[in-house]
Amino acid sequence: MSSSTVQNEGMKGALPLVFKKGIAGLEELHHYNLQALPDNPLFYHLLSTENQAMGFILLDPFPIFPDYSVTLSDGEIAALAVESKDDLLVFTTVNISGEKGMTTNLAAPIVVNLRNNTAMQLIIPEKIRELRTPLPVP
Amino acid sequence: MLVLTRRKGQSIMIGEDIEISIEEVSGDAVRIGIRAPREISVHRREIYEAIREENISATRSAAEMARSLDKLAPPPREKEKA
Repeated sequence: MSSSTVQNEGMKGALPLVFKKGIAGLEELHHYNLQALPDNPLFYHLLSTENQAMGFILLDPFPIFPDYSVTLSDGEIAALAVESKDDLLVFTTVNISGEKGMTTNLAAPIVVNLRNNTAMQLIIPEKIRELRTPLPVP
Repeated sequence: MLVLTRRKGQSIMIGEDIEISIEEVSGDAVRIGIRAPREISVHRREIYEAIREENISATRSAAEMARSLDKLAPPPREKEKA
């Protein structure tokens, strides 16, 4: 199943999300709120509701990387209980700590199923070299 | 850690539904086959570790970015009072 054409549009307010397996490195945290950053159509804030200090800045990758695509395995489709590709949103995490300036992690996208508010981080080994993909400076 | 000796073509079972088999041995490289339920994710450890470290690093920079966004944003409380 390919969700390459998913567009992340029209999210308003905070969207509560459950990561059943947690996120690698933050395995103990399962509940998050996802919110669009004001005045910026591409960036979102994913904030833990269990530990307010923990969160991610997320990016809608498709406007910047139009060739980017994400394919879910049968196991991932089952884990998110996906019924329709139209229910899915795809985000990538943003980092500014490295030497490349602002980067995004195309190797481990976060996929959200809007139908049941579940989410998971995929691991795409073939894209591991895109772990810190520089974002073009506007 | 449990350590077992296996030969090419042999396998081990983990629980009832995960099977790890030795497909090929060549010098210090071993080809391993894994049969597991589809909800079990299987990754090379170094891939998983790289993602894990990147996530932890990203949470730190998210905290920094959130702080600087707070500084940049107009003070919302005063707006509410007005």
